[in-house]
Amino acid sequence: MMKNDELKDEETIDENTSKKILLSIILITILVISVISLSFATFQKGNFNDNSNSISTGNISMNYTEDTNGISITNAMPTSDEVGKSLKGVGEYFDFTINSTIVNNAKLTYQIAAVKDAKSTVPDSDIKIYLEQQKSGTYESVMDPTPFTPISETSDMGAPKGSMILRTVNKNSSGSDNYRLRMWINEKASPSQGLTYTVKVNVYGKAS
Amino acid sequence: MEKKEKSNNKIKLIFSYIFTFFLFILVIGSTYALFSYTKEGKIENTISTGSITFSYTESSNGISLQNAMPTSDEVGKKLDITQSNNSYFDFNVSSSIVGTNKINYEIYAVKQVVENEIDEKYVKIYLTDGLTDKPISGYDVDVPTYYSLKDSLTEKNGKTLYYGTFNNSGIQYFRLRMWISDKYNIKNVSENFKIKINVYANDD
Repeated sequence: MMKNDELKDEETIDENTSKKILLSIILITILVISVISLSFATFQKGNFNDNSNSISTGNISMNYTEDTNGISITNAMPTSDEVGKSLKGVGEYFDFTINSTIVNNAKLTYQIAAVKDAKSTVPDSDIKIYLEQQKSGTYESVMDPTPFTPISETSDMGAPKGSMILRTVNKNSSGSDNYRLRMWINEKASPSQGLTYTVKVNVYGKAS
Repeated sequence: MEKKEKSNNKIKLIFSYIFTFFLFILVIGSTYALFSYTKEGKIENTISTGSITFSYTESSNGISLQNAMPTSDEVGKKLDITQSNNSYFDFNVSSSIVGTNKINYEIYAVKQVVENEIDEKYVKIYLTDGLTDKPISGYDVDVPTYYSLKDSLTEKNGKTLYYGTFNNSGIQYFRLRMWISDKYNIKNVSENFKIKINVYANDD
């Protein structure tokens, strides 16, 4: 008799354990589905470059616009940093803007990268890149004149291997960041005639 | 039977742990993909190298004065080409540069070896703008002698005729005249004086 009771107790315990396990799995599944749903809604909003005025579920949106025609300098000569930093003629600088919309205490990180055209023939070390950001109406340096320095691996933000990271910014509030890029031949360089160097500016953003 | 039940429960527990683990990974992965933005620029930013183009062109034959006599500065400044004499020498320098770089250049003369050389203290050198014939700076007050010219920065035995700068692309025309100073006493032998003009440039 005792033995039967014990057996029955054991069966009950085992049954309870199974039920608990099953219940845990169901709860976790519901939790996961909820998270995925919310993530999907926010992801959809964050990945589109639209000008929608309504934000229903998204906390972050970004937009990158190229404001001027690109840099176009022909017959470029070795140039000192003092001269290069103040180039202001048409085709001697490139303006672009990064707009961020952040609500509900969300945080965003964006990264600006210069991606070199594969057909470029000027050596990287012969190129100087300089970045300014507009603050209170005037442009201030946010990256000193630096030779093009390619990264050895794709960055965490997605900038490809071989590109140059110009700036990484953490943002926790909405705003527009206006940038000005300049590029020139390093004054210490002696490049051959007829070489070219082309870069495009890419922007990568992620919630942080 | 009991053992089998226990074994089954153990298996269920293990599977539930594995399932939970995979769900955990899925949650982390989904959360990681919360927001992502990539925008590749379309505009190309390009610089292409050129070279400093600097040319020195001699537009006329060199100066050739036969039976030259001591000449005053007033007359010497107006020496012109005649049928018998080439009294001046035209040349130009030009550059092709972009941006705010500049090219410094030096026009200098080097004496050539000749027989019976005239003392260079009595050879007048006069440089003017090749288009207007107005004297270049350094020649607009007194006409220097070859001897009084500054030593060249480029050539050890040379003399600087002019030191100029190109701030952007351009061309500069020059006219050079040479005569014997009216202070010179002619000798009874034929004397000669010969120079060669060179130009040196560097970007700065």
